[in-house]
Amino acid sequence: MAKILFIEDDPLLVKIYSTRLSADGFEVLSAENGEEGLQMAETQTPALIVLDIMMPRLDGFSVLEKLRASEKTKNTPILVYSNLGQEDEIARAKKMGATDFIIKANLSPTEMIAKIKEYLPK
Amino acid sequence: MALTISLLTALFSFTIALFVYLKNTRSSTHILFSALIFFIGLYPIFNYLSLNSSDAETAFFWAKFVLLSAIPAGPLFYLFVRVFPSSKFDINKILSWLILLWVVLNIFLSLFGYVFLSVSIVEGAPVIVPGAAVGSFGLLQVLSIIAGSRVLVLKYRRASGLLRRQLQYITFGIITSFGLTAIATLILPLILGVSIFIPISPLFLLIAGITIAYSIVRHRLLDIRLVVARTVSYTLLVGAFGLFYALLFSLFSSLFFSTITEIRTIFVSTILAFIMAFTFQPLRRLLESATDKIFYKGKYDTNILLYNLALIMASTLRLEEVTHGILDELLMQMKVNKGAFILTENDKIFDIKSKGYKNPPSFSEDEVKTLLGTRNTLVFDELDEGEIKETLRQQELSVTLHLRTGGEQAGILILGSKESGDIYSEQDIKVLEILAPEVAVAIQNAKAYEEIRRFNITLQEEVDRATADLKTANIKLQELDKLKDEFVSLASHELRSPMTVIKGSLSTILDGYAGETSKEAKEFLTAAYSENDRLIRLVNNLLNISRIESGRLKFLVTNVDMSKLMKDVVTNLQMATKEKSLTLTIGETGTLPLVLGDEDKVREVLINLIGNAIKFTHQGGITVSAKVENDTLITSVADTGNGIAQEDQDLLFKKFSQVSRGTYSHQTGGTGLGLYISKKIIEGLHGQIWLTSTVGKGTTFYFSLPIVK
Repeated sequence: MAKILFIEDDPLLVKIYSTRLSADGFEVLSAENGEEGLQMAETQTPALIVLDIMMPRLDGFSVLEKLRASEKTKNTPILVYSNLGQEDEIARAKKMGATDFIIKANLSPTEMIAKIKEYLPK
Repeated sequence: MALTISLLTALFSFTIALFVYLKNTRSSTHILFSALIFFIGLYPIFNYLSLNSSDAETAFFWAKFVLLSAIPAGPLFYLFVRVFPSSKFDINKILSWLILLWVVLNIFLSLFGYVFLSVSIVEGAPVIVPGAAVGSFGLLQVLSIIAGSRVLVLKYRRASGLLRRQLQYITFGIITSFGLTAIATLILPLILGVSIFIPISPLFLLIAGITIAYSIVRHRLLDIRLVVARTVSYTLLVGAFGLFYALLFSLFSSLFFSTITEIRTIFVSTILAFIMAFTFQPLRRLLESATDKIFYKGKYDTNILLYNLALIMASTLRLEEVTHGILDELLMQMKVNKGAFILTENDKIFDIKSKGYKNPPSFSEDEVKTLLGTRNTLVFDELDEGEIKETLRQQELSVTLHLRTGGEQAGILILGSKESGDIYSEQDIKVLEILAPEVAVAIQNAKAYEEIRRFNITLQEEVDRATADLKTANIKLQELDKLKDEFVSLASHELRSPMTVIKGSLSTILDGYAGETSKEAKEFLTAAYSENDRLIRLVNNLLNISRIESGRLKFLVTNVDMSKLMKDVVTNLQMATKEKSLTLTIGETGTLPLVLGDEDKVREVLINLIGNAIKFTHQGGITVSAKVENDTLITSVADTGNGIAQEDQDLLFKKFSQVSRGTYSHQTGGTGLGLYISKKIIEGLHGQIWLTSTVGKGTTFYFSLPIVK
């Protein structure tokens, strides 16, 4: 069972996605904030990480940086997503090593799942 | 020769007498002087006649006339000196009558032989036997002369300025002529036995005559010291040359003329003449400067002064520097104690630049009017008493000079008195009058320059202020822009978040992950889902618009796989078409090449076009297709909707325009921004967007994108 880590502070969204993903046979892990997320990433070594940008305390970019800096998570596919959609942020995320940048509001859960499946290592 | 001289003297005297009299026939000074000179002119004629008489009788006869011409001389001299320089005869009536009586008495006494008993000529010299009344004659003369001299001295002591100079001339004239006469007729003959100068002694009187006449007639006198200096220098010059020439000639002639030959004489003379010609000027200049130094201290070189002043005026355009520079030089060279420039503008004073004043001079309105009203140069000493002279006296001015150029008055130059107490000579006034127009021009230039400078400064200030204003405004605008962007960004984020949750929740339910939902419930939930999506699209549009408007729409250009994109979008929008029982299909495309574009943006455009198609189609379906044409890939979205009339087509791509669909309009909804944004996106990616439509049949939208090479 592939593990998917959601670093996202909105629990309802997590529930929406995890409902789907679990039904499709994935194990869904979630962290409410950046620090927890980093810890989990280290200990659980998920196959893919979905990372929110707007979080309290440690924001998404910092987490992304740390994730890419760590040996364990250097090559994990990371989908950065947010409702902020400015080009500079997208470019920044990509430059920092995000696998993709998704605007939350634009994708339905189904589309989101499709994307995740797309980027999961085969 | 004696006859010639006497006649010449007489002629000159009468000429001077007539000349002076005609200058001002009503002035007592002029009348008295003319009379005096007239009688003095008679003297040599009668003297000659007497000395050259054949016998004693004739000699005596003419001697009486000599006396006749001599008797009035003394009293006339006295009266003249008393009256001088006034034109009124304001001598005590009693005194005048007394003098007249005595003169008449003496005349009678002379005629009847009581003054001279007899006169005889022995060896060319007169032998006079005096009579009883000779004392009367002598006394009158002596008293007159003494009294006259006393008056002269007193007047001189009290005099200043012009009067003083005139008296100087008179005194000089008298002393010189009488002195020379005394030397020629008394000292030389008696002490040295040299009598050759006696016959020309009358000429010496002429000197006095001329000098006194000059002092009366001319208003502006040459500096007497200059006259003396020049006279001496020229005398010395002529004397030196004469002597030199004579010496050289005698020297050379004694050397060369052992046998006198014509040619040699001519030769030597010519050489000497050349030498003289070449050495004349330098020697003249040498003598002039030497005598100037001795006699004429304090003189300035006119040319050098004018040159210095011209330099000052040319060197600067600043009013302050020009006026003070000129004043400094002028006051120093002419040795004047104070001076000022009164600068006027339209006959009103606007500035006064002064030097040498303890407190800067000030002028009342009346004084200004008086000064400006005069047209000429005013010299205090030359003026008659009156308002103008009073004004000048009040302000202690000696000279006022108008500075005019081009018909405009730049101001007035005023000068105080000279340190030496002298009056301004002809030369001084000439210099000032040459100077006046140059100074006027310099002042006008300086004023114009000041105006330009001030204007420049004002202009510069205005420009600086305007620039500063613009800068501030610009900064504000930029800040505002940034704020707006931040606001839009934040707002869109805040709006999107809840919408994301709604979307996710509804999707979860509709996709069956939250248990069973009834058909009815599904209907409502689907509606909620699509409306929510519409909201999301609206927010996206707003965000895009904001960025487009501020010119900050940026594209992430990559190679885009259109067929994949089309498939994606079509799949996602299937639900929306199913609601309206429409079909949404992809046409036959074959393998499509990659295009250059921003994937997300192109996706937006496609969604927008398909979305519009769905909105305006109520039966049939929508077909998405693409084909290659030249270097571009043309993607099309065709619907079987109502079509769009030609006149409406132009408005389509504009902001906020929506085609009304009559009864269907309430179903459309939309922001009116979609096509505008789509157009901006496609054009930003170097593509084009257009449409074809037939009313009643349907519409097809096309957009092109460049193919990756």
